[in-house]
Amino acid sequence: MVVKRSIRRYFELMKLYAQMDLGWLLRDTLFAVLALSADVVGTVSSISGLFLLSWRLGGIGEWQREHILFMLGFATLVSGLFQLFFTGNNTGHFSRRIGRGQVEHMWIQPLSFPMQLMTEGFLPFTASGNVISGTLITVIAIQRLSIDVSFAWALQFVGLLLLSLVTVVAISYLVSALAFYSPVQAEEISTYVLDSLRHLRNFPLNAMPKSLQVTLLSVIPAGMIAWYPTTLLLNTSQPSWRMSIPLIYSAVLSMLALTAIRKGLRYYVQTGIHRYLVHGHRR
Amino acid sequence: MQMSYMGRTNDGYLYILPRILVKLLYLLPMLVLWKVLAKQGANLPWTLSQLLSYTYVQTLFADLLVVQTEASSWNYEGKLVSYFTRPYGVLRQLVAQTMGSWIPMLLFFALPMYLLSPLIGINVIPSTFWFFPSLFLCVMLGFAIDFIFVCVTIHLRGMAWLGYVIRMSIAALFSGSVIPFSIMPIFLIPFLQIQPFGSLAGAPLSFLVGQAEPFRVIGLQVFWNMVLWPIAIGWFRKSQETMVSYGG
Repeated sequence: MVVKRSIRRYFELMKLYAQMDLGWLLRDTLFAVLALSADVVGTVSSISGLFLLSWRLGGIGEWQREHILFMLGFATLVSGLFQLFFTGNNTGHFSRRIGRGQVEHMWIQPLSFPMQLMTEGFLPFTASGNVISGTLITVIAIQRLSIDVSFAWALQFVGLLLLSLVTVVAISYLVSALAFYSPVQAEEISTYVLDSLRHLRNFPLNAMPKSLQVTLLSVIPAGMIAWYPTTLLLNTSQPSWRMSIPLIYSAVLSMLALTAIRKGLRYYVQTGIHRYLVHGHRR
Repeated sequence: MQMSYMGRTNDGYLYILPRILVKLLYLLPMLVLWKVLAKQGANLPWTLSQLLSYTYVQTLFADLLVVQTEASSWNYEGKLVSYFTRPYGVLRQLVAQTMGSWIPMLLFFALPMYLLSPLIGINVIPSTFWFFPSLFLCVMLGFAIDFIFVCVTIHLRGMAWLGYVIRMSIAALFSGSVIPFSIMPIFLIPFLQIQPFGSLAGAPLSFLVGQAEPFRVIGLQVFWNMVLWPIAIGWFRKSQETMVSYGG
């Protein structure tokens, strides 16, 4: 019964945030469109360098330019989903909220922390730019690679996409926990880390030495965001156990993030964060 | 400058470590990528040694090659307003503050890496003296472009992140800071070289590896400085009247 009520409340809140986002789009169309375009420009720019290089050279390592385009499309879609669900109110950049002392605002809401964080970031209209551009890039790559899109393949694609999203969110929250201990220095840590991942995830790791592959698939999860899922999707004859790796990886990372945030919150309730000056500006 | 340097290290030098790690994480795959491409016999216009030097020095001096002041985010946060209360020009304060903020990374990342470069077989000695005036012009132009983006942010009613995203996206692709222009698709090269961002990172780094014509590249850098500085100063003077700050 409680679960059912929570699910219903979740969708009610998502609807509410969607309405507010639409309200902004209609009220301040110019700025909303600018924000939408900026996201697209940002992501397209981050993938353009490597794509233009592979275009000039015909490919990188074993991968042709179309394989790289598919991976970059997948990466753009991951970014797009992250922005769609976790842009609003910095829910995807939690270190900002911690560092700015804004977690205190969350205590007075009549909602649980997870419910607030899962719903507040939803911007289905103004943050949809990368979902659209990522979909376009992926469709072009699928056509050029002549991939036979079956129901099972599509399901696999969506599943891997969601697991990549979980990985990105988990890593953001894991590093954000540092802001509980050092609010000023670590306020932007999630931005630094996600920006680095955005750069690193675009590398076709099959061209890289094994040691770098292992590092970027374990300690630094850049390869798990786009490259590894792409290898699974482009080479369907791989053993089925390999499909479970993204699932296990994202689950372990989520558990680590949850533990770090819980521990940080315990520290936070004892010390607090005092960053606001009397006239409202931040220290 | 000293205050800015101290601001970056107040919580201890340990807090510089994440930035250093991020730089290394950026550098390593890029270096490996060039090696892989050279190994696979890709038809590159530059030698492997030149590509490694280009990427290595770009990472070491990234802050100087594409200048970014804190002004846009400070406008949003309300900090910029306090700069108007000091008996010193706002733009001059921003220049000093930004240069001070470079010092920790130059001391604790660029310098050790520079000294380490011979051990890993990367040449960081500029091929030509023109590298130095080109770097100076690049830094100057970087400030002018940054101030123009500050004005954009002011007119975007404090949407600092929007200005930041647009500006960093343009800089990443059009400054030559990630991939040298010469390795881009051939039809794009003339455009990339001539546009204002092309006089940032790509210009001094091309001199570093001995792949730039001094007259054309320095000429373009001087031209863009002469065009963009008056725009930056004039527009900032006008924009500061419309500055609104609530604190973020």
